[in-house]
Amino acid sequence: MIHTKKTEQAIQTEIRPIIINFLEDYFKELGYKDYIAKANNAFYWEGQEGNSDKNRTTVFNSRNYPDFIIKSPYLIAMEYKKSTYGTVVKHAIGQAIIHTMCNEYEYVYCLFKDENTDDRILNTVNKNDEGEIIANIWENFNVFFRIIGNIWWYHIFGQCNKCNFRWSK
Amino acid sequence: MKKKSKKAVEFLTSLHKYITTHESLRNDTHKKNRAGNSN
Repeated sequence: MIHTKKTEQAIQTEIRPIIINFLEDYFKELGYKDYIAKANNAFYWEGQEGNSDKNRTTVFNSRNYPDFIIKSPYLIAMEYKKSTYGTVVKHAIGQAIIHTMCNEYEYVYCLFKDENTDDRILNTVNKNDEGEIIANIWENFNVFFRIIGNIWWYHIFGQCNKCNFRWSK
Repeated sequence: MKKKSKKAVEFLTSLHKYITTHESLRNDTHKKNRAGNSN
């Protein structure tokens, strides 16, 4: 079974500056003079020091802790998960729905990486039930849920050693 | 529930595309993949 060697936490650490870069570009395009400060103020990640814990909603005697929070231009909770097990997808969906059901966030962006070599979780998206669930959580709970596959991952983040496909933007 | 706006959808779509096609992640993992393949 092929796995990326990186842990979920390592990937989260790498995604963090990418989100900040994205926000910098976004605010720069909007004409903000100090777009770097604006981007950094608009972003929060789990474990960052601050007092935002005090403001978190408690539900079922538990606070919500998204991996990342984008506070502007929209209030977005972001979760990153990776696994070979579909049950983790279910857990991620439940967690994501809670974020918007508590009215703590306007949207949730949930990125799940299927760690199976044959993309067996990703491939279920084309089936009726799973496709409808993803459409449903977007329609009713503002959860933007995306699954990326292992083969896809190797195409995007490196070179697939199984075929000659090369990703082009 | 917040009513979805077209601009918010564009924002989320752009962010997803930006993260999943980012050059630095791609290069870094590529290097590690090659190192892994040589073993």
